[in-house]
Amino acid sequence: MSRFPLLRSLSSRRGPRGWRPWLWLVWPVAFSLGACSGLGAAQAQWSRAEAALRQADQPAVQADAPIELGLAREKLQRAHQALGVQDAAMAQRLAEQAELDAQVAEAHAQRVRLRREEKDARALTLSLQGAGRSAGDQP
Amino acid sequence: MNTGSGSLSRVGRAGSSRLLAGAVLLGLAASLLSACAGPRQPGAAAQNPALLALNQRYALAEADLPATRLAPEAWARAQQARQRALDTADRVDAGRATPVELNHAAYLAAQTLTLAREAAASAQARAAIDAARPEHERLRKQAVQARSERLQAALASDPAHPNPGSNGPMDTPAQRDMRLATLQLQLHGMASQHTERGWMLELGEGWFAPGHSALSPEGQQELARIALVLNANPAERATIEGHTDSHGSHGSNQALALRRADAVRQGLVALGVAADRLGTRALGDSQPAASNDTAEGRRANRRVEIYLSPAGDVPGAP
Repeated sequence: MSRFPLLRSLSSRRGPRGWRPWLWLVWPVAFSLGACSGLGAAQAQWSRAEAALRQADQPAVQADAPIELGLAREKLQRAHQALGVQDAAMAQRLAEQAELDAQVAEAHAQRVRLRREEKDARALTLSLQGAGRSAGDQP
Repeated sequence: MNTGSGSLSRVGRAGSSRLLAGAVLLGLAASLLSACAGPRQPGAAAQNPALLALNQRYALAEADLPATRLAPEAWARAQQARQRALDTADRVDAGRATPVELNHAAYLAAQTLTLAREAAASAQARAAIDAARPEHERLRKQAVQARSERLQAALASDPAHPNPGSNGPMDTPAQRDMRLATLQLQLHGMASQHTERGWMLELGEGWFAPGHSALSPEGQQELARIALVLNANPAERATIEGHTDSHGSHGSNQALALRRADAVRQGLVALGVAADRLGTRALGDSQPAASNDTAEGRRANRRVEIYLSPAGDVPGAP
């Protein structure tokens, strides 16, 4: 038997008149844990979004996808603010969107670059065709 | 006497009555909650504007078959995201999710679809670029061959030039054209320009200290590259012209300019260039490249210029 009354009452299967004191401790602890895990998940998502934005934030992307990149930056900042006021759900949503926006910015810039290269390739084909003709025709 | 079976039956009765009370309470709570939510139409969340827009975008994307074929993984992710959005709409209808969550899911699905479309467009462009490469190679070879044939024909029809293999004093325009093109390639990256007297290479900008004729290490490196060009073009000769800034007397500057030109000549000879292909001239301070009033200008004027010209041309003739 424990020498401490608090521990004794907590460890007893049933308190006076059926009152279970440990039940009153379980709920606050469970709520706190839930809130902490929500914020922790939002914080982890924010870190992922921040990494995605850092990867996307290159000069080529800044030049070819400024709007998409700006959107990702803004949402990441808002997610940070939401974390600051312990709004885990809002922070989670904004960070998820920011991560995807950063990926879209990167993909958009890559598409623009490849389209440009494709256009250059077509121009080079025409130029080489012209060069071949003029080299053969003009004495 | 109180028997064990009697107490067990009492406990059992008490337990079942508690369960019944709990069920009644749960039922009441559920009906209260549904009353607060108001009358709910089935599938109302499907009218969410974000979801409607998403469905339209997916319909368009599905019609674009090449896009779905070119980026299958991205397309699969987009479909999963859409399914999540539709599931969220169902949960909103069932009162288990909020419209905010639906908007969020719809946004994620729309952006995932954008990613799929970007990936497909990139794949399409990449395929076109890859397909163009062999075509470029073929066209390049064709152009080089056509140019070569044109030059050969021009040389064969030129009675003034019996030996088309050498690029000596009797250069035809076609030969000169080819020779200059080759030289231009070889001199790429050097401080050089094509002048009326031929290609001019400059050793300047700090390669000679004031009053000295010894080349700096940078100058010696550049000299090695010039020697390579000269050795690769045995029919070219070089005229080396020394210059000075305006410090000192005219006589001393002439002597210094000659020493600089000689230093370059000796350097080239040491690097394997035949001495009889190299001529020197001293111009002193007579042809400044920049103003002698500033330190930068004087630095630019302490230089040596090397003119490359076909072996038959008179060396040193400005």
